[in-house]
Amino acid sequence: MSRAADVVARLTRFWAGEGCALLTSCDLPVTSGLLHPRAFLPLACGVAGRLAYPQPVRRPVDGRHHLPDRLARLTHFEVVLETAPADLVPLYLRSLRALGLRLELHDLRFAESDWSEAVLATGGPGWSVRIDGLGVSRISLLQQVAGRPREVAAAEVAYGVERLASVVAAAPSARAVGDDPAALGERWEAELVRQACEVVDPELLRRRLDAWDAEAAACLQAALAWGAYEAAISGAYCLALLDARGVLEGGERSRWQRRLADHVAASVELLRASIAPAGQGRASDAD
Amino acid sequence: MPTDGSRRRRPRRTAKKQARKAPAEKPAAGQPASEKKAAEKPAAEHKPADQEPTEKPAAEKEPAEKKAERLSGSAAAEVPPPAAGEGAPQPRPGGASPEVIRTAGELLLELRVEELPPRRVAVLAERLATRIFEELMSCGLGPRDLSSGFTRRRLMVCCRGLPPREPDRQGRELGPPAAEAWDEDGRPTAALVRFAERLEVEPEEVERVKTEKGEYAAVDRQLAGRPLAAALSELVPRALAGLVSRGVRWGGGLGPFPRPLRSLLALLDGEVLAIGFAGLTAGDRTTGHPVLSPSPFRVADYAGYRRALRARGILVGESERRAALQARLEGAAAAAGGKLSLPRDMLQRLSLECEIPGVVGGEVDPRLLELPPEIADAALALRPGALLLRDADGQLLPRFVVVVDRPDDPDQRVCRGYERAVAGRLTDLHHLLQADREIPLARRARRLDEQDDGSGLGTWGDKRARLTALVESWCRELGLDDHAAAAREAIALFGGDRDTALVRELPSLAGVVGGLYARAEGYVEAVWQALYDQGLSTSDDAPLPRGPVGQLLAIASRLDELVAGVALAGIPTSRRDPRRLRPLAQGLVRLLMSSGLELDLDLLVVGAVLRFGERLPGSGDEVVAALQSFLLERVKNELGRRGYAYDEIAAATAVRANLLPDLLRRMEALRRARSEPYFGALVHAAKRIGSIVQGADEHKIRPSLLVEEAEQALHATLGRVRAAVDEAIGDGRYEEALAAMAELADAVDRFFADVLVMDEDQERRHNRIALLQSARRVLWRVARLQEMEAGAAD
Repeated sequence: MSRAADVVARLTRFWAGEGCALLTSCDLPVTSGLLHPRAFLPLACGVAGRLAYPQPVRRPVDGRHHLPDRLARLTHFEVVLETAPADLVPLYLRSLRALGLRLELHDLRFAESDWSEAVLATGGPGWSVRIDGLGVSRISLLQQVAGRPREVAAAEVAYGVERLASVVAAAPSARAVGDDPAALGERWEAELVRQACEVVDPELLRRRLDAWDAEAAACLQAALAWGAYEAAISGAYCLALLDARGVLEGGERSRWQRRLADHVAASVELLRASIAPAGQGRASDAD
Repeated sequence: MPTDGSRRRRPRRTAKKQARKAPAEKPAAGQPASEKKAAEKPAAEHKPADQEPTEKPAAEKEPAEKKAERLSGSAAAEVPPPAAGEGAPQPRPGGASPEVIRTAGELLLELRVEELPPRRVAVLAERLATRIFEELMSCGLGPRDLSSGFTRRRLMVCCRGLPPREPDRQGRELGPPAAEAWDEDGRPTAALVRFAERLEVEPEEVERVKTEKGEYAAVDRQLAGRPLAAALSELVPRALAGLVSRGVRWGGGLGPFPRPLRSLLALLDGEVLAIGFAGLTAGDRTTGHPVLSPSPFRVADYAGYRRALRARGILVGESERRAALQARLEGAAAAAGGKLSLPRDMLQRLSLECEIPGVVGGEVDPRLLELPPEIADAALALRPGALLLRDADGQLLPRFVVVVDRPDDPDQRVCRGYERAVAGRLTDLHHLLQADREIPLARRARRLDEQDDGSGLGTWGDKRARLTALVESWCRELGLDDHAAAAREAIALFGGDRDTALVRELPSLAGVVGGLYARAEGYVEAVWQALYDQGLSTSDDAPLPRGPVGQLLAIASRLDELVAGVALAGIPTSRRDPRRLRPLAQGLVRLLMSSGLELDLDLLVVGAVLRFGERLPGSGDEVVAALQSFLLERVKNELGRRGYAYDEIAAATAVRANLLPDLLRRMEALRRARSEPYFGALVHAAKRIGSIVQGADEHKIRPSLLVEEAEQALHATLGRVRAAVDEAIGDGRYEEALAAMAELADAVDRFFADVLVMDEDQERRHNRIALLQSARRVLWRVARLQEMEAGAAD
């Protein structure tokens, strides 16, 4: 098993032991793990309980210079807790120990980092966790989810799997922890960077964004909440690519973000309405 | 208890006032018990009350960090920084060791919390200490001393020498309305009897009192103060409750607080106070470092608390921790054969990064350092927090030091990790620089032409036009026409670096980056240096822009921003300054003073406001007036920072304060002259004249009416001295001008001895007043001397 795969396996085991339901990864390209429909929509409806899943993430711009620790294709291990537990940070430290990390040999730091995702209208205060200077996780207390303030914050922990694996294995870089045959693995990443940053015509991306926007609207018309949400986050990925190309005009990005966020909010409303009469669904206070 | 509210509220106001006025005063006198104990206390633990944090008049002027630092500074002074290598965690559960004498009346509070944002820690710690202190004072429970400390994970406050109980005080218990308390014959009703019984007094002792709501039955009596523990368990939660207004709430009904709370420690003389906060219940335990010493341990008292934390390497006193960190940083730099530039604010920031002040050194590939050092410094300081070392000549060495939250690096993993992070960051910077180079600065500046400049009053194009007009007019005024072309060129590039990837990554380097890029693109020195220097900070120890172009551009850009800020947001108050106009204005004043440019501050403001024309919302005149008086305050403040005495500033600025180089010359003359023997007589003469001619109309001197010898002598002296003073001032020799006035002071003295100003003859009286008014005009040429406190400074 590769080091990265080992990290995923151990985190899965750890969080399953903490009462997390385990999800498979989302099958759409995303820039961040929380966009996963089966995690975010239940969270927004207050029925998520505790969830954990690995999520491949694409960040073409990060990979542009082929820096050792900035990957264009990476894996998040994502934990979503409907109610932020009082012992969130100790729990997180235990999860690191479960990876075999001897924390007492490292410098572990919690840098202030407030996180928000505009398209999800979700965010809150939190930390970027650094081990010996390398950012390996982000912990957020989500005070707002899908545009609604929460009385009690939800929690999100996003582990950077490759970076963590490199620390666990004392490997020199986050690029040295995967299973792919070295030559192809590099190409797999480098091609994504070129495709996104050089090859794809921005006009094509714009048309695609328009199409996703239209699809989301059509789904909402037909009361298809999941479809509308998935179309919206697919649009969000096109938007991220357009941003990477540096072709967005002044207010264009925030205009699109608001529009996509509206689709997300509308799909959340549809789902909420559908589960409200059926009772409380899954218990929201799993802890 | 119906009277409880009023009993508490009324004394509270006065107590607060007391605390503000005289924090050094023993807050609650007459506590023999605690004073006796104080005498027994080890001297090393004694902290005088005048180091209290609640010294409001001074405290309100200070930024919060400074306040909190002063606050914890005294705490830190109690214990010397730990010796090197002492930080190793040695968990030692248990309380105080037997040799320590416990002080009665010791309240120890600690809030443990997940890592707070660094910029909020000091503010919260200071607020906690202040609130506790004020609540104590409001109950007449002034502590003998108060210490406070904090790390990102804990806020601590300890009060010692608290009195054993609240003082008794006179209070009034209100009963039923008078109409219900006595019947028509004035006999007590059943209601009154019940009221009297409840208070355990005879019905005859109940009085009839008038209140705002009418007449009531009432009893005035001594209200017994509560025992300390009872009072604290009410007032401490109240102090805590107001600590934050918003924050996160998390599971188990806890919060709100900016970050999740972990535990609350609250001890009175070793006993747990029965209180709660934000869903937590107070206990007697805390923990050390979350990774290195996470086991909870019991705390008995403040001394034991500090000892236990120190045994785990944790320094809770902020200035103590900072001093230890500075020593370790410098030690690590020296050990690596290099030097460190460590500005004060940087050290302060770093000391908030760790509970255990540790330092690790590392190496970096020299090839990665082939980029402007200021860029490398700023980028690494931000992430991962590393400081590059320099050799004796100030050249970068391929070595760095970094602050870590642990005492050592037993496995070299920390060092290797940071080396990797530093290399990654520097490589990233190289790529940013390379990408930025693809578009020249001038094109970037033009790209911004149509974009809002951030002031809210127009585009970058507008701003550059205003700056060009201002700087060109100043060049003409100052005879610096040779520099006008370079200034125009620099302004054409001004702000272009906001469009670069590097400045987006490191906004604090705006300006500096523009200068560096302009240099790389081959602009002449005057141009690139002007861009670079105007972007530098204007803090106390910052260097002045190197040439006139940089100075003028720095002044113009700040003035322009200030006008826009004041027009849109008004003059900032000491509490609210979201646009940071106060430091901006301070920087402008500092630039004007240090540059020595002969620019009239009042006219600068008028000119800068005029350039905005129609764009300015509201009345330009109002902005001019508001900004002029705001800047005058900043001028006085800056003079104070430069060490001039209050009365010197008042006297010199009362004459005029618009020409800062001239003002500085007069200030300097005044400061030197005040230790001269003649100076006292000058002030005396000015004060005496002032008391006579105050409010008098202006009169003209008619020499024919001068009859007495002393007034003729004064008239003659006046003419001579005026000529001498004029000549000296004409050459800017203000000290000589003051010295020349000494003769006049003598003549004034003799005049007052021999001549009665208030002569019966009106003409003569007016003539004498006119003579004194003339003398005063001469005496006022350098400063309004009567504003000076008694003559010489001793």
